[in-house]
Amino acid sequence: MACLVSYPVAHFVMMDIAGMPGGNAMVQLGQIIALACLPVLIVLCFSAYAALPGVCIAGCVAIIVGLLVS
Amino acid sequence: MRETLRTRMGWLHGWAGFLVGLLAVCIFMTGTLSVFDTEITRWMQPENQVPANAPLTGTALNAASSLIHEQQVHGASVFLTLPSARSPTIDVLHYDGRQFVGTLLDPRTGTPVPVRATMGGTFFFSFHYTLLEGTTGTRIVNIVGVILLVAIGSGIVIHIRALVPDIIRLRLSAARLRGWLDAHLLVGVLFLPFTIMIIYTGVLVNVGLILPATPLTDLFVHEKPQTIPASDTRAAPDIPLPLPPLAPLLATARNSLQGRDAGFILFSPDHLSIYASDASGPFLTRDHVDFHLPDGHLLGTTTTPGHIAHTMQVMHGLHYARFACLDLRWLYFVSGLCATAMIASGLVLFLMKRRSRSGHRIGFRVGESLTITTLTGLPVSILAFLWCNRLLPASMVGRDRMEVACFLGIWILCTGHASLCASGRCMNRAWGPQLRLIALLGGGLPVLDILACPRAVYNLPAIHAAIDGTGLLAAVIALSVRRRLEGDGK
Repeated sequence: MACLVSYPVAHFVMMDIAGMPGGNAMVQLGQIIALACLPVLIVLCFSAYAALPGVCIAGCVAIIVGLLVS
Repeated sequence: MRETLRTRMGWLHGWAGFLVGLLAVCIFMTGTLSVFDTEITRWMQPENQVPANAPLTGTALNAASSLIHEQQVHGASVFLTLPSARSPTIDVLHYDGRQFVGTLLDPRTGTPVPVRATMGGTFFFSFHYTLLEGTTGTRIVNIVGVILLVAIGSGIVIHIRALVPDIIRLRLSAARLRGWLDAHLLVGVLFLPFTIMIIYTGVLVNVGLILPATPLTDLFVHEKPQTIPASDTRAAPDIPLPLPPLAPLLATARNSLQGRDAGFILFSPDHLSIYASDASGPFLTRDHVDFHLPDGHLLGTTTTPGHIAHTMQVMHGLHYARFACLDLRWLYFVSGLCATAMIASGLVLFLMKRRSRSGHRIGFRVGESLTITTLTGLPVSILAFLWCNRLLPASMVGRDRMEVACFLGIWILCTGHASLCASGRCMNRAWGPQLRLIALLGGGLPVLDILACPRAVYNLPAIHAAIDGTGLLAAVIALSVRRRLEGDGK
């Protein structure tokens, strides 16, 4: 669950940065930042899952919406 | 609440670490060996007696040009690797679908150096980042890297309050579990910055495979292979243009690349490109200078400007460490060994903690046999790979494939042995023979090397001493672990 939530979030971070003007350099910057975020997000999500299931469910819904919009 | 968090993180650290740790040990062990991949290749080609820093002459470059043109006429897509401090020969190479093969030329005279066919150190390099499975393997390695970062993150959360005391605490005489835990924490904390850096930069090298710059929805769209429209007119094959003298082009390229040495030359139908050497600095660039063919006039210089591109180049440079001097390379090697030991001790700890509760379960026995296969089977296979290099006839056809087959065959045998012992619930019987085998192969490596290639040992003592010494070190560690296992068994 933690991975399923974290990976799309990291991917969205990367895509948002990559969408900024700057070409391939911004894609690289997005990948540098997203890769640093991904393990941290997984650990955070895993540790928060028990205490905050509502947040995680909301995150899942947001990701599905994001997928449909993109 | 804090205790709950630690328990949760402990579960994540244990299971994530164990499941990817089995592959991570293989990746780290072969990656550590890859730090000296060029030197291992030289060890595995004892016929190559060209001294380091042999001067590069115009005669040799002309001979290389002739050879390249001859191979281009036959349709081969070749490139040229220039001599460096680590590899003194001029290599005219092409890709045969599995590896780069070709002819080595003496940089002083341009005469071919007859060497035995072997994958050499590039085998470990290739295994390290592809697991011998191409792009799929690289993707798996990247995923393993990310999960390993997760395991490290959760480990830091668990031990955050005792990070500094863990550095100076090692109680080998304490209970076995405590001793293993201390060793795991000691190497883990001491080499934590290196481990995080090497994993992060390693994943970043091929990050596009797990974080592609395309919308997520595109990942589920099946791409149809493009069909090439049939054409009645077939283009006539291009006759490759003759190459100009390379020595003046190299001097021009050196000036255009701000004094950096040239590393390799790629050839296109109408131009050639001289690339900056990876060893010329911590920035792993693909800066190059293009020359027109056949007259050799300068077309232009291509560099990658920008802070972000430079950041990426430094990340790549830090991982590959091709800029590193010998001392720094040894530091990488020792750090890699310690990171491997950290993961290996974690695997052992995971099993020890669960042995009394779940030792009878089939899942546990499969896990332990896989651990044995990884921790002892892989070193046995690596040493067998080196032994094969010396024992197989130098002129044997397909000997490079035979070496790889031997490596894989021995590893499969070790797996079978560990599985058999696991089915009989006598795991100590699996550790013992495989550790003895490491001791035998590692301890015998210097003897075999001196007996098989005395001239090479005499001419290149440093390389042979380092690789044979590493074999001896593996033997000593294996004997020491085996003695402790026997002590625990009594």
